[in-house]
Amino acid sequence: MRISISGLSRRFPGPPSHTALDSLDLEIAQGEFLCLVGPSGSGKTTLLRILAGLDRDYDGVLGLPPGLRLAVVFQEPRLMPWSSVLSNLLLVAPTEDAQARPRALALLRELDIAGFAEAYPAQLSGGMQRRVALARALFVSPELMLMDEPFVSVDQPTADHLRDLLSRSWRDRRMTTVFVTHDLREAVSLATRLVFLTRGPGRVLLDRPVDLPPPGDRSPADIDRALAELLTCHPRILEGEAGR
Amino acid sequence: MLPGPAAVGRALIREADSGALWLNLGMTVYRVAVAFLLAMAVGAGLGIFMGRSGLADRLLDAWLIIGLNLPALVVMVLCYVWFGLNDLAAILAVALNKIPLVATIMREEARSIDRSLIEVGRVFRLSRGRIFRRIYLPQLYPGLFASARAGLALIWKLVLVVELLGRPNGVGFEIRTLFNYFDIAGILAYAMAFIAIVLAIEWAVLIPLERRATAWRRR
Repeated sequence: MRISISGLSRRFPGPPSHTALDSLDLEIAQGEFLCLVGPSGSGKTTLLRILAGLDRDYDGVLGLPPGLRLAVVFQEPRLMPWSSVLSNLLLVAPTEDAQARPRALALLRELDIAGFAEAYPAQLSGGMQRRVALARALFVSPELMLMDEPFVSVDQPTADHLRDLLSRSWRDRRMTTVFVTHDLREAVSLATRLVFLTRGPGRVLLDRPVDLPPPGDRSPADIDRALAELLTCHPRILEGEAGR
Repeated sequence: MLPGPAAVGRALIREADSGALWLNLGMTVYRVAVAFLLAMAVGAGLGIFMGRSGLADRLLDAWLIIGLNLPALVVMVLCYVWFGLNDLAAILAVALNKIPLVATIMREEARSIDRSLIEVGRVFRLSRGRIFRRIYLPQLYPGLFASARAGLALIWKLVLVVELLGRPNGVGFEIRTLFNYFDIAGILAYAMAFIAIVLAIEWAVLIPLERRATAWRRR
Protein backbone atom coordinates (compact mmCIF):
# COMPACT_ATOMS: atom_id res chain seq x y z
CA MET A 1 0.00 0.00 0.00
CA ARG A 2 1.37 3.37 -1.02
CA ILE A 3 -0.26 6.76 -0.86
CA SER A 4 0.76 9.25 -3.46
CA ILE A 5 -0.15 12.91 -3.53
CA SER A 6 0.76 14.85 -6.61
CA GLY A 7 0.26 18.55 -7.39
CA LEU A 8 -2.36 18.85 -4.65
CA SER A 9 -3.86 22.33 -4.30
CA ARG A 10 -6.78 23.54 -2.28
CA ARG A 11 -8.18 27.02 -2.64
CA PHE A 12 -10.98 28.39 -0.47
CA PRO A 13 -13.01 30.89 -2.48
CA GLY A 14 -13.83 33.03 0.56
CA PRO A 15 -14.24 35.93 0.89
CA PRO A 16 -11.47 36.42 1.73
CA SER A 17 -10.15 33.73 -0.60
CA HIS A 18 -6.99 31.93 0.35
CA THR A 19 -4.88 29.02 -0.81
CA ALA A 20 -4.28 26.41 1.87
CA LEU A 21 -2.21 23.98 -0.20
CA ASP A 22 -0.25 24.75 -3.34
CA SER A 23 0.99 21.95 -5.64
CA LEU A 24 1.97 19.67 -2.80
CA ASP A 25 3.73 16.42 -3.68
CA LEU A 26 4.16 13.63 -1.14
CA GLU A 27 4.58 9.85 -1.17
CA ILE A 28 3.75 7.87 1.95
CA ALA A 29 5.01 4.30 2.24
CA GLN A 30 3.24 1.49 4.07
CA GLY A 31 3.94 1.34 7.79
CA GLU A 32 5.43 4.82 8.05
CA PHE A 33 4.71 7.07 11.01
CA LEU A 34 4.78 10.41 9.29
CA CYS A 35 4.54 13.58 11.34
CA LEU A 36 3.34 16.57 9.41
CA VAL A 37 4.73 19.70 11.05
CA GLY A 38 4.11 23.30 10.13
CA PRO A 39 3.06 26.68 11.43
CA SER A 40 -0.61 27.67 11.73
CA GLY A 41 -2.18 28.12 8.31
CA SER A 42 0.24 25.78 6.55
CA GLY A 43 -2.60 23.52 5.43
CA LYS A 44 -1.88 20.53 7.70
CA THR A 45 -5.49 20.01 8.71
CA THR A 46 -6.67 20.67 5.14
CA LEU A 47 -4.36 17.92 3.87
CA LEU A 48 -5.64 15.54 6.55
CA ARG A 49 -9.27 16.29 5.68
CA ILE A 50 -8.55 15.62 2.01
CA LEU A 51 -6.88 12.29 2.89
CA ALA A 52 -9.88 11.43 5.09
CA GLY A 53 -12.29 12.07 2.21
CA LEU A 54 -14.00 14.94 4.04
CA ASP A 55 -12.89 17.53 1.50
CA ARG A 56 -13.11 16.72 -2.20
CA ASP A 57 -12.82 20.22 -3.67
CA TYR A 58 -9.12 19.97 -4.43
CA ASP A 59 -7.01 20.08 -7.59
CA GLY A 60 -4.29 17.52 -8.26
CA VAL A 61 -4.06 13.78 -7.90
CA LEU A 62 -4.59 11.81 -4.72
CA GLY A 63 -3.76 8.11 -5.01
CA LEU A 64 -5.33 6.09 -2.22
CA PRO A 65 -5.70 2.30 -2.56
CA PRO A 66 -9.38 1.42 -3.12
CA GLY A 67 -11.22 0.03 -0.07
CA LEU A 68 -8.53 1.37 2.27
CA ARG A 69 -9.44 0.90 5.96
CA LEU A 70 -9.20 4.37 7.43
CA ALA A 71 -9.42 5.80 10.91
CA VAL A 72 -9.25 9.40 12.08
CA VAL A 73 -8.51 10.85 15.50
CA PHE A 74 -9.62 14.47 15.52
CA GLN A 75 -8.40 17.34 17.65
CA GLU A 76 -11.53 16.95 19.80
CA PRO A 77 -12.48 13.38 20.83
CA ARG A 78 -15.84 13.57 18.95
CA LEU A 79 -17.40 10.72 20.90
CA MET A 80 -21.16 10.19 20.70
CA PRO A 81 -22.34 11.64 24.04
CA TRP A 82 -25.44 9.40 24.14
CA SER A 83 -23.42 6.18 23.75
CA SER A 84 -21.30 4.38 26.32
CA VAL A 85 -17.57 3.94 25.72
CA LEU A 86 -18.17 0.39 24.47
CA SER A 87 -21.01 1.50 22.15
CA ASN A 88 -18.79 4.24 20.74
CA LEU A 89 -16.37 1.53 19.63
CA LEU A 90 -19.08 -0.82 18.37
CA LEU A 91 -20.58 2.01 16.30
CA VAL A 92 -17.66 1.84 13.85
CA ALA A 93 -17.56 -1.98 13.70
CA PRO A 94 -18.83 -3.73 10.58
CA THR A 95 -22.43 -4.76 11.30
CA GLU A 96 -21.74 -8.42 10.49
CA ASP A 97 -18.77 -8.71 12.90
CA ALA A 98 -19.94 -11.21 15.54
CA GLN A 99 -16.65 -10.88 17.43
CA ALA A 100 -16.91 -7.09 17.67
CA ARG A 101 -17.85 -6.99 21.35
CA PRO A 102 -15.03 -9.21 22.68
CA ARG A 103 -12.56 -7.44 20.38
CA ALA A 104 -13.70 -4.04 21.67
CA LEU A 105 -13.37 -5.17 25.28
CA ALA A 106 -9.89 -6.55 24.62
CA LEU A 107 -8.85 -3.24 23.08
CA LEU A 108 -10.26 -1.29 26.04
CA ARG A 109 -8.19 -3.55 28.32
CA GLU A 110 -5.10 -2.91 26.21
CA LEU A 111 -5.58 0.84 26.65
CA ASP A 112 -6.42 0.49 30.40
CA ILE A 113 -9.99 1.75 30.07
CA ALA A 114 -11.94 -1.53 30.36
CA GLY A 115 -13.34 -0.33 33.70
CA PHE A 116 -15.11 2.51 31.90
CA ALA A 117 -16.77 0.42 29.17
CA GLU A 118 -20.27 1.33 30.33
CA ALA A 119 -19.51 4.97 31.21
CA TYR A 120 -20.75 7.86 29.08
CA PRO A 121 -18.16 10.25 27.60
CA ALA A 122 -19.29 13.12 29.84
CA GLN A 123 -18.28 11.05 32.88
CA LEU A 124 -14.68 10.80 31.65
CA SER A 125 -11.80 13.28 31.93
CA GLY A 126 -10.42 14.89 28.76
CA GLY A 127 -7.47 12.51 28.75
CA MET A 128 -9.72 9.46 29.09
CA GLN A 129 -11.96 10.70 26.29
CA ARG A 130 -8.90 10.95 24.03
CA ARG A 131 -7.94 7.43 24.96
CA VAL A 132 -11.41 6.27 23.90
CA ALA A 133 -11.05 8.18 20.61
CA LEU A 134 -7.72 6.39 20.06
CA ALA A 135 -9.35 3.04 20.92
CA ARG A 136 -12.17 3.73 18.45
CA ALA A 137 -9.62 4.43 15.71
CA LEU A 138 -7.57 1.31 16.49
CA PHE A 139 -10.74 -0.78 16.66
CA VAL A 140 -11.21 -0.75 12.87
CA SER A 141 -7.65 -2.13 12.43
CA PRO A 142 -6.83 0.80 10.16
CA GLU A 143 -4.39 0.56 7.30
CA LEU A 144 -4.17 4.35 7.38
CA MET A 145 -4.51 6.29 10.61
CA LEU A 146 -4.95 10.06 10.41
CA MET A 147 -4.42 12.11 13.56
CA ASP A 148 -4.98 15.86 13.80
CA GLU A 149 -3.19 17.24 16.87
CA PRO A 150 -5.05 14.72 19.04
CA PHE A 151 -3.25 15.54 22.30
CA VAL A 152 -3.16 19.29 21.94
CA SER A 153 -5.40 20.34 24.80
CA VAL A 154 -4.49 17.84 27.52
CA ASP A 155 -1.99 18.40 30.32
CA GLN A 156 1.63 17.38 29.78
CA PRO A 157 1.73 14.11 31.82
CA THR A 158 -1.53 12.90 30.22
CA ALA A 159 -0.26 13.82 26.74
CA ASP A 160 3.01 11.93 27.42
CA HIS A 161 1.03 8.89 28.53
CA LEU A 162 -1.19 9.06 25.43
CA ARG A 163 1.87 9.35 23.18
CA ASP A 164 3.32 6.31 24.88
CA LEU A 165 0.09 4.36 24.27
CA LEU A 166 0.07 5.46 20.63
CA SER A 167 3.72 4.45 20.12
CA ARG A 168 3.07 1.03 21.63
CA SER A 169 -0.04 0.55 19.47
CA TRP A 170 1.88 1.56 16.35
CA ARG A 171 4.79 -0.76 17.22
CA ASP A 172 2.36 -3.69 17.56
CA ARG A 173 0.34 -2.92 14.42
CA ARG A 174 2.57 -0.87 12.09
CA MET A 175 -0.36 0.94 10.53
CA THR A 176 0.57 3.80 8.22
CA THR A 177 0.08 6.95 10.29
CA VAL A 178 -0.10 10.61 9.38
CA PHE A 179 0.08 12.71 12.53
CA VAL A 180 -0.39 16.46 12.36
CA THR A 181 1.31 18.58 15.00
CA HIS A 182 3.06 21.88 15.54
CA ASP A 183 4.95 20.50 18.55
CA LEU A 184 8.43 19.58 17.34
CA ARG A 185 9.28 17.48 20.40
CA GLU A 186 6.08 15.46 19.95
CA ALA A 187 6.92 14.94 16.27
CA VAL A 188 10.48 13.75 17.01
CA SER A 189 9.31 11.42 19.77
CA LEU A 190 6.67 9.73 17.57
CA ALA A 191 7.69 9.84 13.92
CA THR A 192 9.73 7.66 11.64
CA ARG A 193 9.65 10.48 9.11
CA LEU A 194 9.18 14.23 9.45
CA VAL A 195 7.59 16.38 6.79
CA PHE A 196 7.66 20.13 7.36
CA LEU A 197 5.31 22.43 5.49
CA THR A 198 5.89 26.05 4.48
CA ARG A 199 3.87 28.86 5.99
CA GLY A 200 0.64 28.95 3.93
CA PRO A 201 0.02 28.11 1.19
CA GLY A 202 1.42 24.74 2.24
CA ARG A 203 4.17 23.02 0.28
CA VAL A 204 6.73 20.50 1.44
CA LEU A 205 9.63 22.45 2.96
CA LEU A 206 11.71 19.65 4.40
CA ASP A 207 11.27 15.88 4.32
CA ARG A 208 13.62 13.75 6.42
CA PRO A 209 13.62 10.38 8.17
CA VAL A 210 14.10 10.16 11.93
CA ASP A 211 17.25 8.16 12.62
CA LEU A 212 16.31 6.92 16.05
CA PRO A 213 15.12 3.63 17.54
CA PRO A 214 11.47 2.85 16.70
CA PRO A 215 8.80 5.00 18.39
CA GLY A 216 8.16 3.66 21.87
CA ASP A 217 11.80 2.62 22.32
CA ARG A 218 13.22 6.15 22.27
CA SER A 219 14.75 7.57 25.40
CA PRO A 220 14.33 11.25 26.33
CA ALA A 221 18.06 11.66 25.60
CA ASP A 222 17.57 10.26 22.04
CA ILE A 223 14.77 12.73 21.48
CA ASP A 224 16.74 15.68 22.92
CA ARG A 225 19.71 14.89 20.69
CA ALA A 226 17.62 14.59 17.51
CA LEU A 227 15.74 17.76 18.38
CA ALA A 228 18.97 19.72 18.99
CA GLU A 229 20.42 18.45 15.74
CA LEU A 230 17.34 19.47 13.79
CA LEU A 231 17.15 22.92 15.36
CA THR A 232 20.84 23.53 14.79
CA CYS A 233 20.43 22.92 11.07
CA HIS A 234 17.03 24.60 10.79
CA PRO A 235 16.49 27.02 13.69
CA ARG A 236 13.40 28.61 12.06
CA ILE A 237 11.81 25.37 10.85
CA LEU A 238 8.69 25.82 12.98
CA GLU A 239 8.10 29.19 11.35
CA GLY A 240 8.08 27.51 7.96
CA GLU A 241 11.66 28.37 6.94
CA ALA A 242 14.41 25.83 6.26
CA GLY A 243 18.15 26.39 6.69
CA ARG A 244 19.99 28.74 9.00
CA MET B 1 -73.73 23.10 38.35
CA LEU B 2 -71.10 20.49 39.19
CA PRO B 3 -72.17 16.95 40.12
CA GLY B 4 -70.29 15.19 42.93
CA PRO B 5 -67.82 12.34 42.40
CA ALA B 6 -70.50 9.75 43.21
CA ALA B 7 -72.78 10.98 40.41
CA VAL B 8 -69.86 10.99 37.97
CA GLY B 9 -68.92 7.48 39.11
CA ARG B 10 -72.53 6.25 38.58
CA ALA B 11 -72.57 7.78 35.07
CA LEU B 12 -69.27 6.06 34.31
CA ILE B 13 -70.62 2.66 35.43
CA ARG B 14 -73.84 3.20 33.44
CA GLU B 15 -71.92 3.97 30.21
CA ALA B 16 -69.51 1.09 30.80
CA ASP B 17 -72.35 -1.37 31.43
CA SER B 18 -74.15 -0.37 28.24
CA GLY B 19 -70.92 -0.84 26.24
CA ALA B 20 -71.11 2.74 24.88
CA LEU B 21 -68.09 3.87 26.91
CA TRP B 22 -65.80 1.20 25.40
CA LEU B 23 -67.01 1.77 21.83
CA ASN B 24 -66.62 5.55 22.05
CA LEU B 25 -63.28 5.41 23.85
CA GLY B 26 -62.02 2.84 21.34
CA MET B 27 -63.01 4.97 18.34
CA THR B 28 -61.43 8.09 19.82
CA VAL B 29 -58.19 6.30 20.78
CA TYR B 30 -58.02 4.89 17.24
CA ARG B 31 -58.39 8.37 15.68
CA VAL B 32 -55.90 9.90 18.12
CA ALA B 33 -53.35 7.15 17.41
CA VAL B 34 -53.60 7.37 13.61
CA ALA B 35 -53.62 11.19 13.55
CA PHE B 36 -50.70 11.29 16.01
CA LEU B 37 -48.55 8.87 14.00
CA LEU B 38 -49.39 10.63 10.73
CA ALA B 39 -48.62 14.08 12.16
CA MET B 40 -45.35 12.94 13.76
CA ALA B 41 -44.13 11.15 10.61
CA VAL B 42 -45.02 13.92 8.15
CA GLY B 43 -44.16 16.78 10.52
CA ALA B 44 -40.79 15.32 11.52
CA GLY B 45 -39.91 14.49 7.89
CA LEU B 46 -40.86 17.96 6.73
CA GLY B 47 -39.06 19.69 9.60
CA ILE B 48 -35.83 17.70 9.11
CA PHE B 49 -35.96 18.36 5.36
CA MET B 50 -36.41 22.11 5.95
CA GLY B 51 -33.66 22.12 8.58
CA ARG B 52 -31.17 20.48 6.21
CA SER B 53 -32.04 22.25 2.97
CA GLY B 54 -31.87 26.04 2.80
CA LEU B 55 -33.84 26.04 -0.46
CA ALA B 56 -36.64 23.89 1.00
CA ASP B 57 -36.72 26.14 4.05
CA ARG B 58 -37.10 29.27 1.94
CA LEU B 59 -39.78 27.68 -0.27
CA LEU B 60 -41.85 26.18 2.55
CA ASP B 61 -41.37 28.67 5.38
CA ALA B 62 -44.35 30.83 4.39
CA TRP B 63 -46.58 27.74 4.16
CA LEU B 64 -45.45 26.68 7.59
CA ILE B 65 -46.42 30.05 9.05
CA ILE B 66 -49.81 29.82 7.33
CA GLY B 67 -50.27 26.30 8.73
CA LEU B 68 -49.38 27.43 12.23
CA ASN B 69 -51.87 30.29 12.14
CA LEU B 70 -54.78 28.71 10.27
CA PRO B 71 -57.66 28.20 12.72
CA ALA B 72 -58.16 24.50 13.50
CA LEU B 73 -61.89 24.80 12.87
CA VAL B 74 -61.35 26.04 9.29
CA VAL B 75 -59.16 23.00 8.47
CA MET B 76 -61.74 20.63 9.98
CA VAL B 77 -64.66 22.13 8.06
CA LEU B 78 -62.68 22.17 4.80
CA CYS B 79 -61.65 18.52 5.22
CA TYR B 80 -65.26 17.47 5.83
CA VAL B 81 -66.39 19.48 2.78
CA TRP B 82 -63.66 18.07 0.52
CA PHE B 83 -63.51 14.45 1.68
CA GLY B 84 -66.99 13.93 3.13
CA LEU B 85 -68.11 13.09 6.67
CA ASN B 86 -65.78 10.14 7.19
CA ASP B 87 -62.84 9.02 9.33
CA LEU B 88 -60.29 9.89 6.63
CA ALA B 89 -61.41 13.53 6.69
CA ALA B 90 -61.51 13.61 10.51
CA ILE B 91 -58.02 12.13 10.93
CA LEU B 92 -56.56 14.28 8.15
CA ALA B 93 -58.02 17.43 9.68
CA VAL B 94 -56.45 16.66 13.05
CA ALA B 95 -53.08 15.71 11.55
CA LEU B 96 -52.99 18.84 9.36
CA ASN B 97 -53.50 20.97 12.44
CA LYS B 98 -50.60 19.32 14.20
CA ILE B 99 -48.04 18.92 11.37
CA PRO B 100 -46.84 22.59 11.31
CA LEU B 101 -46.05 22.50 15.04
CA VAL B 102 -44.04 19.25 14.76
CA ALA B 103 -42.27 20.57 11.64
CA THR B 104 -41.31 23.81 13.41
CA ILE B 105 -39.80 22.02 16.41
CA MET B 106 -37.97 19.46 14.26
CA ARG B 107 -36.62 22.14 11.89
CA GLU B 108 -34.88 23.81 14.83
CA GLU B 109 -33.51 20.44 16.01
CA ALA B 110 -32.21 19.62 12.52
CA ARG B 111 -30.53 23.05 12.30
CA SER B 112 -28.63 22.44 15.51
CA ILE B 113 -27.23 19.03 14.47
CA ASP B 114 -23.53 18.70 15.32
CA ARG B 115 -21.95 18.16 11.88
CA SER B 116 -18.61 17.20 13.41
CA LEU B 117 -20.21 13.99 14.73
CA ILE B 118 -21.61 13.21 11.27
CA GLU B 119 -18.04 13.53 9.96
CA VAL B 120 -17.01 10.76 12.35
CA GLY B 121 -19.50 8.46 10.63
CA ARG B 122 -18.23 9.48 7.21
CA VAL B 123 -14.52 8.91 7.92
CA PHE B 124 -15.23 5.49 9.42
CA ARG B 125 -17.18 4.71 6.24
CA LEU B 126 -20.51 3.99 7.94
CA SER B 127 -23.48 3.54 5.61
CA ARG B 128 -25.84 6.48 5.22
CA GLY B 129 -28.56 4.52 7.01
CA ARG B 130 -26.28 3.78 9.95
CA ILE B 131 -25.17 7.42 10.18
CA PHE B 132 -28.83 8.47 10.17
CA ARG B 133 -29.93 5.95 12.83
CA ARG B 134 -26.90 6.04 15.13
CA ILE B 135 -25.57 9.61 14.83
CA TYR B 136 -28.24 11.85 13.30
CA LEU B 137 -31.41 10.54 14.93
CA PRO B 138 -30.15 10.53 18.56
CA GLN B 139 -29.46 14.26 18.20
CA LEU B 140 -33.14 14.74 17.25
CA TYR B 141 -34.55 12.82 20.24
CA PRO B 142 -35.14 15.89 22.45
CA GLY B 143 -37.18 17.54 19.69
CA LEU B 144 -39.03 14.33 18.86
CA PHE B 145 -40.08 13.83 22.47
CA ALA B 146 -41.01 17.49 22.94
CA SER B 147 -43.22 17.40 19.85
CA ALA B 148 -44.67 13.98 20.76
CA ARG B 149 -45.77 15.14 24.20
CA ALA B 150 -47.06 18.53 23.04
CA GLY B 151 -48.63 16.73 20.08
CA LEU B 152 -50.54 14.18 22.10
CA ALA B 153 -52.02 16.88 24.33
CA LEU B 154 -53.16 18.90 21.31
CA ILE B 155 -54.35 15.99 19.18
CA TRP B 156 -56.76 14.44 21.62
CA LYS B 157 -58.45 17.81 22.12
CA LEU B 158 -58.75 18.27 18.35
CA VAL B 159 -60.09 14.75 17.84
CA LEU B 160 -62.93 15.48 20.25
CA VAL B 161 -63.84 18.58 18.21
CA VAL B 162 -63.84 16.73 14.84
CA GLU B 163 -65.97 14.00 16.38
CA LEU B 164 -68.37 16.57 17.74
CA LEU B 165 -68.62 18.20 14.30
CA GLY B 166 -69.04 15.20 12.05
CA ARG B 167 -68.66 11.67 13.41
CA PRO B 168 -71.38 9.26 14.63
CA ASN B 169 -69.26 7.87 17.49
CA GLY B 170 -66.31 8.69 19.74
CA VAL B 171 -65.98 10.67 22.95
CA GLY B 172 -66.55 14.01 21.15
CA PHE B 173 -69.80 12.74 19.57
CA GLU B 174 -70.98 11.34 22.90
CA ILE B 175 -70.24 14.60 24.73
CA ARG B 176 -72.44 16.45 22.22
CA THR B 177 -75.24 13.93 22.79
CA LEU B 178 -74.93 14.27 26.56
CA PHE B 179 -74.84 18.06 26.17
CA ASN B 180 -78.24 17.87 24.45
CA TYR B 181 -79.59 16.31 27.70
CA PHE B 182 -77.55 18.64 29.95
CA ASP B 183 -76.03 15.47 31.42
CA ILE B 184 -73.00 17.09 33.10
CA ALA B 185 -72.19 13.90 35.08
CA GLY B 186 -72.03 11.93 31.82
CA ILE B 187 -69.82 14.56 30.16
CA LEU B 188 -67.43 14.51 33.14
CA ALA B 189 -67.45 10.70 33.17
CA TYR B 190 -66.25 10.59 29.53
CA ALA B 191 -63.73 13.39 30.12
CA MET B 192 -62.30 11.56 33.16
CA ALA B 193 -62.11 8.23 31.32
CA PHE B 194 -60.31 9.82 28.42
CA ILE B 195 -57.90 11.82 30.60
CA ALA B 196 -57.05 8.55 32.39
CA ILE B 197 -56.13 6.96 29.05
CA VAL B 198 -53.98 9.92 27.98
CA LEU B 199 -52.17 9.96 31.34
CA ALA B 200 -51.60 6.20 31.07
CA ILE B 201 -50.02 6.66 27.60
CA GLU B 202 -47.86 9.48 28.96
CA TRP B 203 -46.66 7.52 32.00
CA ALA B 204 -46.47 4.04 30.49
CA VAL B 205 -45.06 4.90 27.07
CA LEU B 206 -43.73 8.42 26.53
CA ILE B 207 -41.96 9.08 29.85
CA PRO B 208 -40.14 5.68 29.97
CA LEU B 209 -39.11 6.04 26.31
CA GLU B 210 -37.82 9.56 26.89
CA ARG B 211 -35.97 8.49 30.05
CA ARG B 212 -34.28 5.70 28.13
CA ALA B 213 -33.30 7.88 25.19
CA THR B 214 -31.89 10.68 27.35
CA ALA B 215 -30.36 8.59 30.17
CA TRP B 216 -26.87 9.85 29.25
CA ARG B 217 -27.82 13.43 30.18
CA ARG B 218 -28.56 12.47 33.77
CA ARG B 219 -25.25 10.71 34.44
